[in-house]
This record gives sequence, C-alpha cells and structure tokens, in this order.
Amino acid sequence: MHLPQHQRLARCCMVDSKPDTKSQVDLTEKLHAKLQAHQHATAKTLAFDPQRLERQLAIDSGLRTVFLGVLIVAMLLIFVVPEGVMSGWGSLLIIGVWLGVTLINAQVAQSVERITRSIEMGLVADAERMIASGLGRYPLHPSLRLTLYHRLAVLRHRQGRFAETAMITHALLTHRLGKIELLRSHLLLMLLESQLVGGQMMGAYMTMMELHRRRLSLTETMHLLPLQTRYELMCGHDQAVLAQCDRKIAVAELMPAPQAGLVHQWIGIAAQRQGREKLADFCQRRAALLCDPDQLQATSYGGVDVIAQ
Amino acid sequence: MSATGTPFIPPTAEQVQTHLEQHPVNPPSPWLAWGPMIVIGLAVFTAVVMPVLVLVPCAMLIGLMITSQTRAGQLRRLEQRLNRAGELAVCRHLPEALRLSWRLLADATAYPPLHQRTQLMIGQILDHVQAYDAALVIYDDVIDRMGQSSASPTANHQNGLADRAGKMSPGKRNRNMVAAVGFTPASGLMVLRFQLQRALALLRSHRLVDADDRIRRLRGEVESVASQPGGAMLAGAYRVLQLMQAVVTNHADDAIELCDDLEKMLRPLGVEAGLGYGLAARAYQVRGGREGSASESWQQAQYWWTNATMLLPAEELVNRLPELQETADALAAAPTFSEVLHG
Repeated sequence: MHLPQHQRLARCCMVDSKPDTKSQVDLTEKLHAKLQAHQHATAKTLAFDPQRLERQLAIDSGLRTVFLGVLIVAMLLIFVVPEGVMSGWGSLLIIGVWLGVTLINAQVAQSVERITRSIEMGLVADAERMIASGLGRYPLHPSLRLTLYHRLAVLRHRQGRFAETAMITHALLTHRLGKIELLRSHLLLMLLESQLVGGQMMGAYMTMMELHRRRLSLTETMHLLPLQTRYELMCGHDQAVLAQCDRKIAVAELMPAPQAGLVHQWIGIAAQRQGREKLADFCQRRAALLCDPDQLQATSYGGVDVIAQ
Repeated sequence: MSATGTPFIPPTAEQVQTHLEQHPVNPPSPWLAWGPMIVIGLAVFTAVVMPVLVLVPCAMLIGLMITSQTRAGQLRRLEQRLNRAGELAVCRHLPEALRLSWRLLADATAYPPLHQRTQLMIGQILDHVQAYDAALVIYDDVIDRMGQSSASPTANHQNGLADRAGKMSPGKRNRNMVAAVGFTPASGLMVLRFQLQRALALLRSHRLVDADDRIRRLRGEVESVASQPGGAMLAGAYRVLQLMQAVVTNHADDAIELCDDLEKMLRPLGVEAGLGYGLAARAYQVRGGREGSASESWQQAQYWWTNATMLLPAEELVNRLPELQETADALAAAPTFSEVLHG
C-alpha cells in the first residue's frame, strides 16, 4: 500500500515508541519536527490572481442563477402538470439541486475550520491543499469563497509574504463581505501591516483611517496599537506616539509578551527622541523584561531596523 | 450573584457545584443529527409516492433551511456573548464577566464545546477573584472530562499528530473527540494549562499535599511541551507554581535554586511574570533576613522586587499573594508608570 510520505515518516517515528515519558517526549518532538519539515519541503504555492477571484465569483453567481432557473422550471412543471408523473420528477429535481448545492457548500464550510487549525499549527502544505481544494468547488456561496480567500491571506501573513497578503486583502476589501463583514477589520489590520512592511505610508494611513472609523473589538484594538505606534514612529510623529501613553501601556499589558515588549520599546524610542529620559528608561527596562534582545531586534513584526535609522 | 451596585461576592464552591448540576452538558440527540437526512428522505418519498402532494416536499426543505439557519444564528449569538464575557474578563471587569458567563452556561447546554469554554471562563474569573475553592470545582469537572479522551496531554498531543499523519482511525478519532466534549485531539496544551491553574488553585486554597502531588505529576508533561510553540509560556507558569510552592511552604532556599534563569523562563508570561519575580524577591528576603541587610541576598531581593514592581504594582502583588506584604514593606518598589509619566 502506498502511503503519502508524511504518513510514512510518522509511521517510522511510531515504530520504536515505548510508553515511558522520555520516549514519549522524543516521539512527540520527532513527529512534529518531521511533519513540519516535510510540509515545508513539499508546500506548493497557491498563487493569487485578482482576476481569478472575480472569475470564480462570476461563475458562482452564474451557476446559482442557472440552478434558480432550474428550480423555477421545476416548480412550473409541477403546477402546469399537477397530477401527472412530471410533478413527482419536478419535486425530485428540486430536492436534487438543493441537496447538491447544499452538500458542496457544507463540505467546504467544514474544511474552513480545519484550514484555520492547520494554519495555527504551522502545517502550511495542509492548509494550502485544503484552500486550493475548496476554491476549486462550484458553486460556493460568495461569503464562503471570500472566507477561503481570507484564510489564504492569513496564511500568507503568517508566512511573512506581505506583498501577497496586501494583494489578497486589498482585493477582498473591494467586495461586499455580507455575512462575513466581521472579517473586514481583520483584513484591514493585515493590509495595514503589509503596507507598513512595504513602506507604503500613504496606503497605511488610509487603512488606519478606515480602521478608526470602525468599531473594533478588544483583540482588534490590541492588534492596531503596535501597528499604529510603528506607523507614527516611522513617520517621525513622536508626540503622537506619546499621546495617551497611559492608555497605550494599559492595552499593551494585555498583549502577548513579544508584542507588549515592542510597544514599550517604541514608546521608549519616541520618549528618548522627545528628551523624556525617565519615561524612555522606564519603557526600555520594561521592554527588556518582556522581550529578550533577539525579539527586540527581530524585524518580522516590528521593523525595528527602519525605526533605528 | 449580586445585583449591580451592591458589593460583589463571588459564588461559593457549593453554588458553583449546584449551578453545574443544574445545567449539565446536554448534547443534541443523535436523531437531531440525522434529522436533515430523514427530512430529505421523507421529501423524496413524498415526491415519488404521492406526486399529488407537490408542495409538501418543498415545504419540508424550506422548513429544514429555516431550522438550520435558526440554530446557526443561535450559536453565533451565544459565541458573541462568550466573546463579550472574555473581553470583560481581560479588562478586569470581573463581576460583569462572571455574571455574563454564569447566565451563558445555562443557555449553552446544547452546545458542548461552547458550554466547556464557558465553564473554563467562569473558572478563570473565579481564579482572578481568589475564589479558589469554587474555581477548583470547575477545573476538576472540566479536566476530568477532558482527561477521558487521553491519559495525558502529551498523549493527547501525540493523538493529534498521529491523527494528522493518518494513523488514527476515524472511529477512534471521533470517540476521542466526543469524549473530550468538543476539544480536538491537538488541544493538549490547553489541558495542561488548566491543570497548572488547578494546581495553583490548590496551592492558594492551602491544600498543600494535593498541590504537591499535582505539581510533581505535571513536571514531565511541562518539560515535554516546553520546546513546542506555546510551551514556553507553560514552562514559565510551571516555574511560578514551583516558586509559589516553595515560598508558601517556607522553603526559601529551594525557591532561590529556581532563580538561575528566571528572567528567561518568565518572559513569555508578559506582565504576569511580575508575580514570579515577586516570589523570588520574597525568597531572597527571607535568606537576607538571616544573613543581615547588607548581604548579597538582600541586594538580590531588591533586584527581583524592582523587576516585579516594574511589571505589576506592589499592591496588586500583595493582593494576589498576601505573603508578599512583608517584602513590600521592607523593599523599595520601582516607580509606577503614573509617577514616571507625571513626575
């Protein structure tokens, strides 16, 4: 029997497993490392094309129109020949079409949760495969197709492929999101970070204004704070960074340690530039307690190198 | 529950137990899962056998759509309420958060994963308001049920890996997931996190023998996940737990032995690391008390207390652990953010 390579790898790791804790630990680490290494090695990139998105949405819409037409014809058939054999077949046609469309959408909707989990666990190839498979199904409800593209944007964002993230999020934001309108803020946040990484300050400003017009949840506010601080620092608006500093610090304290440390670090830099030595010293000491030096130097989240110039 | 405007009194362990018993998980009947298939089957049957009743199959399908939309809408509203409670808890509006999640538990009985998340939310809030006995009731209930799916979090995590590698049969996977009441096999870290919180609650409610037993048992589990994503935070929480045990049981020298790489270990905890530093300060202060106020231990105590109060105000530290009152009185705290900002 031919197994996929990642299954064979997992099976090899399982062969020598013993029930004691040490081997259990080794086993977990081996499995995790080998699965992730294999997934990274075999990850196929799903290219994003805005025109493809438009085409897919048009096909979905067209197919739904066709199915609606079929339903109307079937209903007419039933009413025109109410007591004939055709009315039975008409009802069956309605059920068949309804069932087919519902099943396709239900299967893809179920895969969305698995995609989210795969992204969280760093299983890039799994996520890519499931997204590609979902996008290849027709007809999907527009909100479901856009949700799949949202997950693709999240995946690219996690991979640090910010140019693609910006392209996907920008394309999605031009559409009416309907049932998934709640995702708009998240899309805007990903777009904002991508624009900041790409140095598109005007675009970042517009995105930030859009975000400020929206009612954000606490989590979204926590995501916005480091991005806005970083924007203001990159633009040299040190006074804006220091405005409502106490509120910013309070929000930063709710964040995971690396992000909290970076916000402290940036407020410290702004304070230093403004000659507020005590505040700068306090923020930098706190940053050192929240992040190790490597994290503070990392550019993946914060672009500290840009700020340091 | 106290009404708005009156002093907040957290529920007792008995009240929590009664509330859990009154609102147990009541998963929908398997018939409900098969409901759509039965309705579709009936619709097909009606269409084929009784073609005269043309509108009946259509009405059945419309009814089915309305039912599933209603159920999805209900679940969405419940999740929004839980998210709201979570936000309130994060912002330390604990009475409101507890009130909201307490009511939510009664409404979420038909949705096992949501019911469990609500239970855990209540447990964490009770932990924050120092109602440790009541929190223990929640943790015991949830962890015992989660534990049915696997012997240990490590095994649980391996189930997740084996599942992804295609080794676990769908039947076994489903049984595990059902036993875990909605938790996925890869949620081992979450189980471990709540086991740590349970051990902490045991320690704080002075059930020291039970706490010691739990802490010892958890060591291997924590070490096994420390190198995984999210594991560093658990390792940090475990170190705080060890420090607290040593301080609460007056083993200052044991606590000091845990301080070697303390900053590195506790960084992932964010400002919560302040409690760990406070405990380190307390341990050095006890030793410094024996050696004299000019000793190196005393300086170390001051160093750790400064770190602790950089992250959390001294009052907050004392509020969380009254054993730190003596340390707060004896050592100088770092300036607060307000003092720095306006000073």
